[in-house]
Amino acid sequence: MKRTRWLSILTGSLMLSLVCFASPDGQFAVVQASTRLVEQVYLLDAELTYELSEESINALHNAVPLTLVLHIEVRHARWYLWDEKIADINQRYELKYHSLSERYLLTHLNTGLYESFFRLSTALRAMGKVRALPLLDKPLVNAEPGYSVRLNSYLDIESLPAPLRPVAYFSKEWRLASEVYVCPLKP
Amino acid sequence: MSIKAMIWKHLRMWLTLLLFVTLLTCLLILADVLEDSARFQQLYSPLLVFSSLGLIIIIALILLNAYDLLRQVRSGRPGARLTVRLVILFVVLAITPVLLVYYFSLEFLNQRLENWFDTQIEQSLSSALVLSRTSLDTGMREALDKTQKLSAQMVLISDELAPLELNSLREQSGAAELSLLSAGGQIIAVSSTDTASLLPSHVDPTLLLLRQQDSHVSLHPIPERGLYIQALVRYNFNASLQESGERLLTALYSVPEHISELAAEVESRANAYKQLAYLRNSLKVSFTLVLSLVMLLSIFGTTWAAFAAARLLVRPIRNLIEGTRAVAAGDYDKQLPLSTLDELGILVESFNTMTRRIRKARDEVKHSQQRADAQLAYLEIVLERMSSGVLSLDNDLQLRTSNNAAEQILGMSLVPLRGQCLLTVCTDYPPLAALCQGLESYLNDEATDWQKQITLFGVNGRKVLLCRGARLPNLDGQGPGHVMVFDNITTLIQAERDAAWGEVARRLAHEIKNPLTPIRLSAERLRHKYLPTFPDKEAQTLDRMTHTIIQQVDAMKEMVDAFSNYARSPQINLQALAFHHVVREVLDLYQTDHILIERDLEPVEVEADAGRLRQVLHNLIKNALEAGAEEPQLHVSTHYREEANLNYVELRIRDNGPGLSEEMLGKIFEPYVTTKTKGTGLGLAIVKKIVEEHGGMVWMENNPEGGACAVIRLPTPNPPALAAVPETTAEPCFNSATS
Repeated sequence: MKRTRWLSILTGSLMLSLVCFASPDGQFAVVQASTRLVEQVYLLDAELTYELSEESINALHNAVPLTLVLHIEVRHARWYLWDEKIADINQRYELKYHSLSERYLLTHLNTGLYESFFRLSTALRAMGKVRALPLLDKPLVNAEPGYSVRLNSYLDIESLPAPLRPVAYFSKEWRLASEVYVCPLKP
Repeated sequence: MSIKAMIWKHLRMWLTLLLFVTLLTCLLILADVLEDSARFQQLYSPLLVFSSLGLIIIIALILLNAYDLLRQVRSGRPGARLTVRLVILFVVLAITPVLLVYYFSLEFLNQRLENWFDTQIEQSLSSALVLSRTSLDTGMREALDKTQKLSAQMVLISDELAPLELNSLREQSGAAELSLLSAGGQIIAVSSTDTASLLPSHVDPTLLLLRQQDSHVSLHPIPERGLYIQALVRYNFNASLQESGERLLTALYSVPEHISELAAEVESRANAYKQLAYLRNSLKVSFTLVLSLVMLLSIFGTTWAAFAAARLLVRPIRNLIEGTRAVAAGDYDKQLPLSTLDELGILVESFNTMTRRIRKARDEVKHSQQRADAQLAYLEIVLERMSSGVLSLDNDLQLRTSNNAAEQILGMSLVPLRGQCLLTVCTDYPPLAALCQGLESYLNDEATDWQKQITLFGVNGRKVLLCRGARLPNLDGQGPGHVMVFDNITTLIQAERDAAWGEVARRLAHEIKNPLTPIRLSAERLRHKYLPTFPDKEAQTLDRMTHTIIQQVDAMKEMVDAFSNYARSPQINLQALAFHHVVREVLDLYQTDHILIERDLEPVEVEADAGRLRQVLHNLIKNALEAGAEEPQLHVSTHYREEANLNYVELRIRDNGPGLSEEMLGKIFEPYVTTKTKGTGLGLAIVKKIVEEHGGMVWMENNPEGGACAVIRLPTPNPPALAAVPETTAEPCFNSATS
């Protein structure tokens, strides 16, 4: 009986997540980001929100894995030239639905670590929390001001199955990306 | 075609072929990707973009070819329209089967895709998934029970002893992992068979919200490790008074390997089918896209090949057309490039041989023409420099050629008469009429050579022509012609006649003058000796007879002296003198109240003997005054004339007499020819003799308004000075003559 109840809860959660974390066009956003210096290493803390489109959730439930990328750049502004790129980091996440266990598996492709969730919203929220992500060592940064961190996230269309890519490139529901968020690189 | 253009042409062709091969390879790779090949997954989108760009480039190339062909059609380039027809034909022939294959391929593809995805299969796979879950339910319940029992054993275990207890319980229960968490989810202790992992398996934060005494069990897939069962139990531990509270015990149990593999297999197949079913429309789009790209590549490739093939086929034909046009325009140097050895190549070779032969024949004709032109020019120069007049007539007696001498002798221009029958047009030209009248019988006769002397009368007086003719062979296919050569022998005859008269004069002077003196002396002695002695009657008779003898002897002597003067040729003393002054001096001697003399004297110089020139003027003026007019009027003019390579002074003395008959015009300057009752008849003969001694010529002509006019032409080396003013003294002279 308990299991039946849990299934009901999970189904309800799933429906709720579809309502709450699915908008027709989807939306990614970087809510907040900041850096800190810990043991000569700059660490990034960020808060992102991921809202998948109905089409992308439909694809996820039809065994199409989604790859989301958090792109981070550390730049140094120069008055005489364009900005110098100090670091370029891509955090790649793979989100897929395991139909047998009815769980959402979130794999951090950079590290191979995985997490499983009953709710899509929980998985997306977990993916949106970035804590103490190492950016670069302090010796790589001069004492000059003008360093900034630019981050944005997007759905990687090129990781979709090949037949889906031409449609995805021309569909608004598949072009999921956040605005670029810029925060200063500071200890 | 230059080497650079040829290299560029071949390079362009090979680049285009390379583009086609590359595009074909791209499409093959795209088809491979759509077959779910993992090799080129990352290249799918770039290949699509590259293929599209390649097709755009090919379309641009085809448009350029079409534009170039259209331009050629508009400019009327040979072979352009044939190229258009061939291109259209090739394209239609190639496109029709391609479109048919494309249509049926799409239909077949869509039908097959629809047939592949059967709802029963989908239902079966879903049922298989449910069955898998159901088959795992027993294990899950056992796992939950086992975990609840383990949690009961952990109620009295403190956190410090938990790790040891967990190890013991894990080994006892056969769990893969046991972990003890606080109510907030903090890890208290972990025991795992996987010693490489320091952290416990992930627990969904949702599960941390379980109420007390609640438990949870679920399948827990771990990537690369397989399927596990995760059980979670919340319990209250009460190790001591100080240590109590809620704890979460999570346990991870491995599913038997064969069941795990089967479940994974079912899940994998179901997922694959679901994915394919979901991607069905996308697959249709992708297949249609790739098939369309293949179709477009085929069509555009065929079109491009059609352009190339049409150009290749039409090139020798176009060359032939251009070559034919060039030959028609007279360019016999045209040689066409020989590129193939087929029938067209044989045709091109034949054309080249033909133009070579035509060029050779043309060169020979040109050479012959040049030689003929040179001969003709040579003959024309010879003819123009001849003093004899030359006329050539064709078989219809039409004038073909004439020279300047003929025009000078006849006193008319013959150029307008070329191409006209001489016998027809001669009636309009008196000199020609006399010539044709005299020669008509010869021209109509078959005689090959003939000769005849003909006398003409023209503005320059009487002319005697010696004509010789011959019949020309039929050289140019227009029948035999005639050539006439005639010389003006008037002067020659006159000279012979003058010489004969001079000889007669000398003989008369010698034979007659010598006996006259003894005759006259004898007559005077008879008078002197016998006149006083004879009686009156006989004396009167003697006186009358001797007087007659002496008078006649004197007359004869005077006549013989005149002859002597005519025959005598004294040395002339040539010196430069103003001719108009000499004329004025002589004219002044004849100014009387009864004579009107008009003067039109242009200042001119001649080299002449002044005395003999005055004698000429006296004779001519006397002759003009005695022309028979009741009130004599003279018009005297001197002018400088220039004709072809000849400068001369012309003196004209015109009277108002009755003029001369045509017969007299021809022989008025012969000795003893006169129209007057008095005189010796030698005046004008002496004039002619003196003028000819000065290298000049003299003749008489009748004025249109009446009267005769004596014309003298004397050569002069110098033209008159520009500043000199003509002496036109008609009015003063007239006044002086009338005063």
